[in-house]
Amino acid sequence: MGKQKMKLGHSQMNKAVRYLILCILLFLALFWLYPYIWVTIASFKNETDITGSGLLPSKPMTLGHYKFILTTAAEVGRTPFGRAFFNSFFISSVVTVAVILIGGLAGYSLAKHEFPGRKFLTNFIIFQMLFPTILFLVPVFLVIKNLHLIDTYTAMILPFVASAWAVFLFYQFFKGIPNDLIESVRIDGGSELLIIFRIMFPLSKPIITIIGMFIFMGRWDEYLWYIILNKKSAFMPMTTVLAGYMKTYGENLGAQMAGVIFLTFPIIVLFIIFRNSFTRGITMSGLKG
Amino acid sequence: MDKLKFGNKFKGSKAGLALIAPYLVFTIVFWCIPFIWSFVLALQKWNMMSPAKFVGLNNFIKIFSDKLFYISLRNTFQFIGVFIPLGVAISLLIAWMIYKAQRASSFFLISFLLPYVTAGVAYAVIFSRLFAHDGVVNVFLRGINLNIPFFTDPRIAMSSIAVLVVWKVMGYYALIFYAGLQAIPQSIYDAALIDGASGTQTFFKVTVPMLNASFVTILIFAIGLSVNIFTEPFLITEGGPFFATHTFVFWTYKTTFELFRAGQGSALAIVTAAISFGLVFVVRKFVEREVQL
Repeated sequence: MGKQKMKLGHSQMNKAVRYLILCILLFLALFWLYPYIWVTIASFKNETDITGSGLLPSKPMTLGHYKFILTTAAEVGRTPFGRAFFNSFFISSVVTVAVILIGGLAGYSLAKHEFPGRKFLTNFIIFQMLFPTILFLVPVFLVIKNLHLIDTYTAMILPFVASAWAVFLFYQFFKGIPNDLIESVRIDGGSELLIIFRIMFPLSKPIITIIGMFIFMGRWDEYLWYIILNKKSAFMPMTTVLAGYMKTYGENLGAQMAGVIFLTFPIIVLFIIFRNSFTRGITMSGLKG
Repeated sequence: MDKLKFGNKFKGSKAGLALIAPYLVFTIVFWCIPFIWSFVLALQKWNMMSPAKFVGLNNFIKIFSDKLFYISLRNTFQFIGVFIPLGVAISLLIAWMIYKAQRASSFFLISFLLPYVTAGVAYAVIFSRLFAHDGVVNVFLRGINLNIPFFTDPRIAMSSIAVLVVWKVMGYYALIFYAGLQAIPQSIYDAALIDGASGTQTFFKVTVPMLNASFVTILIFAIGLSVNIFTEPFLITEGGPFFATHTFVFWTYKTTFELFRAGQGSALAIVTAAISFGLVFVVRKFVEREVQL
């Protein structure tokens, strides 16, 4: 009897603790969201209202900052944000599609084909993933320079069209697909490309979503490589243009805030739609160690 | 049957190579050639215009005898000293709270991971404003008669950036911890309960050791991030004040693309990579453990 009572008390306490934890979490989650709410409101605030004030505007709101970055900026020789948005979108999309295609073909080849050097190449791909980007910064710039591609879209696309990480994920995934399925198509005279596009790619949708999401986001966020590879304002992606605002238009805060909204909003939408693939991608890396 | 299999494999040999060819071409042009070139460059003096000159290890000697090397090293360690303990503690705490509350709701997921998916440039803009001398944080602190020069005091500028980066990647690390927590079998907790272990004991003697793989992953990610930090110090503080946020990647960038010293820049990149490898090695050696279930 006494034992049971204690147990009841224990579970009630557990419940109270649970609610307390939930309240703390809720508070922290709002705390983490605060900068986003702040920047969204700030992008509509009067310029003088952005500094020193709290969250809510004390002066009439304005669309002026958006107008500035979309049109007025062009008149003073800046890349208009619409153009920069297109540049970011174009570069990131081309790279994402290329990484999936090239990575898928390579992963399939390593997983389902036998050819001299296959084992070596599989190990080499793992080896490639060990090296940090910084090691390639200078020589890749020089390769692009020697190909006379500096200040073009190609310069910002070509060095990223394949990823060892993507090949490895495809390789692991394809290894798990039974050979019988492939053999049966081969016996029926189906080509390798038919196998890849009709069987392998449709089966690997979850992997494609993870790779696509991370590659697209990585390109969208890129800054360092783009300032090295391209100085032509017409081709500048949003990160470069926004950073330019920060450096030279230090005073024009509203324009910076509106730029942040442009740069952040599409990724947030993508993230919310694909959040489950995103979390799967992260936890996969965590559990393997 | 065996013959058929062999036949297929043989047939596949050419096809296999053809399928991997695009990747191989890419790897040769944008990986192998740059990889070798970076080591060759590191032994040269070259302004990317006139012919390169072989200078042996001179670039490395110059780096190690430069005061900036020790400043960058100190800054990197100041960053690590704030970023890793704070980042690991907060992300573990939040993962543990979500695990305990048994509610991995989309709302928590979204709000904690939003900073991670936000472009570095965008959040550098947001935070340089929020933490500016007249920004929201200092306006709030004015209430208790405080004004912290987050980015203008050389003693705390690098730590301020580390705190921002904690805020950015916390959700990512928490998710790794959360997956690790979920992978711990309930039977181990039951056994600890029967043995009369207290909550704190269970946490430090059972949970933390069982999370070894998550810790190692996070530490390796965190080291890579810390040694290669660029966007934040470049945009928010421009390496200053008084070189207080001068980092290795920042230095590599300046040397190569502003001073046009490709050889020294390459040598710096190698030194940066070596530091990162060294720290990863330390983690692998001293933190990584085989966990037996």
